[in-house]
Amino acid sequence: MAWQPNPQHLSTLVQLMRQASTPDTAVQQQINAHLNEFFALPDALNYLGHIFAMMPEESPDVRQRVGLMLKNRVRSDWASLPPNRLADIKAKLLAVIRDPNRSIRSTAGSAITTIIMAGGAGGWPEALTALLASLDDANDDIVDGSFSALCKVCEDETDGLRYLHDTDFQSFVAHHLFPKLFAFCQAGARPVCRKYAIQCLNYFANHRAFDVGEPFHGSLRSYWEALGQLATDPDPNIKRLVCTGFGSLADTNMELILTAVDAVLEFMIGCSDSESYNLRMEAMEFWQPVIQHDQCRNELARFLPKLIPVLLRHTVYTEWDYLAMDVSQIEDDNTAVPDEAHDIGPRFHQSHPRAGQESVDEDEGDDTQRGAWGGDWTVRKSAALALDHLSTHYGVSILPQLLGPIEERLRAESWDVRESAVLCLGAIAQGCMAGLNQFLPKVIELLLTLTREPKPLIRTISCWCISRFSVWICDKPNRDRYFKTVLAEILSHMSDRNKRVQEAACSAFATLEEEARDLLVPYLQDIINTLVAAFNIYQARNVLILYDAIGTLAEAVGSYLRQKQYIEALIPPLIHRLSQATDHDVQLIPIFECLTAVSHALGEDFIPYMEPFIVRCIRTTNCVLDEIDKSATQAMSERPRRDMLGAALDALGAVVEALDKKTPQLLQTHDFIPLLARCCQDSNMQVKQSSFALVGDVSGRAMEQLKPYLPQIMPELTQHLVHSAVSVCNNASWAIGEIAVHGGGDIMSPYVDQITAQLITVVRRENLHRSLLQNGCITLGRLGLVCTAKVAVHLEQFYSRWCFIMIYARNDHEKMNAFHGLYALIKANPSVAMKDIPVLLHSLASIPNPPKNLAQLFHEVITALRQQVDAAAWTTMLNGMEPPIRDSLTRNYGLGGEGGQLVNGTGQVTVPSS
Amino acid sequence: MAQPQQAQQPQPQPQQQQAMPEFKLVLVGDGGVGKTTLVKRHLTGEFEKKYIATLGVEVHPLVFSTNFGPIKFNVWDTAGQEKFGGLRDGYYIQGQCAIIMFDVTSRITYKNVPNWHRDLVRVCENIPIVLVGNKVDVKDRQVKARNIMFHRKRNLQYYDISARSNYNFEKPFLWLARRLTNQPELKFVGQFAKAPEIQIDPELVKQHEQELQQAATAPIEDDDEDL
Repeated sequence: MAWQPNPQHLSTLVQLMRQASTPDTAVQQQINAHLNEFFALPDALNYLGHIFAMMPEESPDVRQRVGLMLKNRVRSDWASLPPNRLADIKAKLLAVIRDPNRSIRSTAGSAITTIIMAGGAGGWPEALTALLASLDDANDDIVDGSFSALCKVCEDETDGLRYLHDTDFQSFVAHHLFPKLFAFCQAGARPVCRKYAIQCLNYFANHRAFDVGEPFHGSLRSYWEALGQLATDPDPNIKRLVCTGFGSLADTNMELILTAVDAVLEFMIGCSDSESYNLRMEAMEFWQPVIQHDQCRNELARFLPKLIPVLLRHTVYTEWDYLAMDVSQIEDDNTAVPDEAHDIGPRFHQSHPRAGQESVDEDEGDDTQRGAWGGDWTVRKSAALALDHLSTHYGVSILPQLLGPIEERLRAESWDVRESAVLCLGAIAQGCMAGLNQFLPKVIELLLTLTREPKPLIRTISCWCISRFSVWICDKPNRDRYFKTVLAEILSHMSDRNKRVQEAACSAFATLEEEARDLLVPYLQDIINTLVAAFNIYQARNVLILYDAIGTLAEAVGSYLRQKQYIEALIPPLIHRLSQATDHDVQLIPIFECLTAVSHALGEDFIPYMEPFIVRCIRTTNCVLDEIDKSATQAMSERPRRDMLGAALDALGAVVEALDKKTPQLLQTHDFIPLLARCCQDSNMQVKQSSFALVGDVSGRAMEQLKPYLPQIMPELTQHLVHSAVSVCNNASWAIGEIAVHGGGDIMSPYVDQITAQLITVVRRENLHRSLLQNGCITLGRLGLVCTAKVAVHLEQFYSRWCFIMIYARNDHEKMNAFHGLYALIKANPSVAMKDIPVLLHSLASIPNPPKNLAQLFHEVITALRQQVDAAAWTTMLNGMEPPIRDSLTRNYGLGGEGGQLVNGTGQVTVPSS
Repeated sequence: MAQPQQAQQPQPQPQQQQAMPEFKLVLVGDGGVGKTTLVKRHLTGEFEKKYIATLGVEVHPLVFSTNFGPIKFNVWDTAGQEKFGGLRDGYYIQGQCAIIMFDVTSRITYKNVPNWHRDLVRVCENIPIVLVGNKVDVKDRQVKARNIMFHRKRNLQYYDISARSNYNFEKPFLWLARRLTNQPELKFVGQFAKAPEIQIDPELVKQHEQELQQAATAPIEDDDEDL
């Protein structure tokens, strides 16, 4: 007998499903509880099937909810579903796919897809056949239900390339589905069929199923032709799907596009200029791969007169841009309106690399990129980015086509066209810079006018745009004429009446500063006046940018800032801000960073002001260490702010550098060394990185105060010579070297064996970061200087590698230091050097101007070595070296003098008769 | 849609007669990305640090005061974890807008965004959707801003947010409110979130440190999140 629902159960379930639309958590929880009971029934799924398929009088929402639940249950209970029950469900689903209600059909399609995904196409071959057969039904609803179901199957089968494991599906597609789909793409097919057909095909194209070697490569030609057929369809939804298809081909099969490139480009330009926003959005994405493809770019050149105006036109703001816009961007005067805390993004502290080290952080581009194009994505951005790509790849050759229209738009009647033209100028700034040269005088003049427009949005974009030309503005031929004017204009907008213009001006100033450097010096008074004035009017968000601008200024002009009037104007407001900031203030990290830069620039001139800064750094360090303690043992509200700790430690490093020899006095009143020792032992790598750097800074200035803590600090440094965080290793290595040269052999002696062993491991590794290898060598050299005997014992293990790595090391004081160490080591263990003389000579030759005493010492070494070597072998060796190396050796180490060989300018070696 | 004129306050339209506009908002995304926390932030101002998995769905009305009068979102905060899913996509029915959330410190939660999106649009075909990346207050971000591309062609709006620091926490709602009312000039007015209160929670600290630990030890595969 056929299954019959228990009327009681059925009505309960329907009731529950009706209630399920109630926006009430308690009701929802009750429903879940009841459903759990209901699903204990062995025939629970039959009820779902019954309501979904057999109760058309029930509301569509209830039926859809039941249908989705059925789908979800089938998926979760798949392994345990009795075959007869599944068969019943399948039959019902194929019936519901013909339902007059669209959402019900769609739900049935999702359920069918779930079953095919679970059991494979071969598990239910009738389904695909039935769906396919319905595509010719006269009833549009039935076609829609069946086709949308097939579409979902295609979507899920191609997702994650699952069809590769479903050969039944592959065969269905190749023999039945594709022929049908391609037929539907022909002119005259019903619109609903055309849309679904291309949608299905696109899933395959998007997953590269038509590529060479893929299962459906044989259908590539048909797909291509289908796109061509559909491209003539006036419906923007179809056009959009065609764009998607061409986009997939552009990524994988540009050769094919090239076979009909004119038609495709023409079509895509039309779509990029469509009335339909969604179609434009899709089409705009096409230009990047085309522009980046050499051959395609050549073809596109002919179409630029059409494409460029389209791109320019669609950089104008649309409602989609306004949708995401903050009112602060368009308000006329909002300087006095306080910022909301939730508008202020998180700030992270970034430690600067130690002197002489390279930055190893590769993620820095992230925020800058956002600054340029923003996080939102609209047609405007897409079009501007396409212009950016155009200018990068065609360079100056397209300028004539761009400049005329842009200039015309810059003078347009309506403000939003003028605004968009400025965006376009900024977009092409980098790519076309070379060719813009002759036009820039006019362009800059125009931009300067635009920065005074009444609309804040134009002032904002103009500030941004001008800063994109910083290089040109600071370039020698132009600076006299433009630098001062541009600087003045930007400075004036730092006090704009609109907050967002202030922000843009402040960012533009920071960009200009980095390029201008010394050029800023004559204007420092004006600059500082502006910065100080800005403190008084800026709201929370812009104050943060202001700190950056001041920090950048300090880095850019350095010691030029050491003027009484500048210091007296700039520093007190900063110190005041510091004293006002609470311990949890978002400002604290930016202020620390700013004062750190200022301290580096001012050096000892900063000393009179630094007391409150030092106190604050120490207080912050204590504060975070407290948080760390608490987090380990007891309840607390926030995670320890280690980022802040890093900023405070870096700040102390700058203070110590400024104090230099006066550091011991500081430590008498503010002894932070115990805190520092504690920080060295913290588990966090950023904290370690900053702590180790500070240890190095202190060791050269206050070794006596550091000494008692070395038993705590040295093991941390030693352990971290080998670690996955490159900057931590570098700083550990550098700090050890500093302690060695400033502390001497007695201090190092207890640690030197272990450190040497670690460093040898480091420098002998092949695939380490270059800076790590070089720092390891330098530290080994410096250790050799102070613990000669202990290190010399191991010289053989690192000598050749050391010399090799040092060929490429930066020629600084530390490198010289290290070579002094090498000299000491060779002196103590000369036989090692005998084993590989050429590498030593190469290494020495890499120092362009060795200090006299160093040159003299190695002259001695070379002479000694030469005496051990057979004269002919020596000559052969020298002849094997590049002339510049021989020259350097001759020039700097007197190679060949004192009765040795004489290497003359021609590289010939003269052996004097003995 | 009219373009807003700057320097002109849009006229608030008194709505005494009219009922407050109400929208069903579906909030989806992997478990633990911070969906419930975001809702609680808006409801009480508190930052919930404990992770308690949502069972099935929790529905909360969020009312925002705007210059066009109040607007109400019935937020259907759905379970991220499959085993607690309840009606799952059954909750999406009649959804008028949606937020898909992932966690920028967890790559897998971003990789799952297409699945959430697909399930959503199979039930609600053409609704405005905002994609949000939560936890941007954590320094070791795993999903970089430049790699977040999913929203581009699909015309979703995207926001970085932090439920911890409140950064941008009202932006997704503001965008949806503007979209749904077709008023780009709409803005939220007045206090729409209570001041955060300090609260003590030992478990969270541990949990967060763990999260960070996991994030730190997660293998770094480069640029694999272009979806």
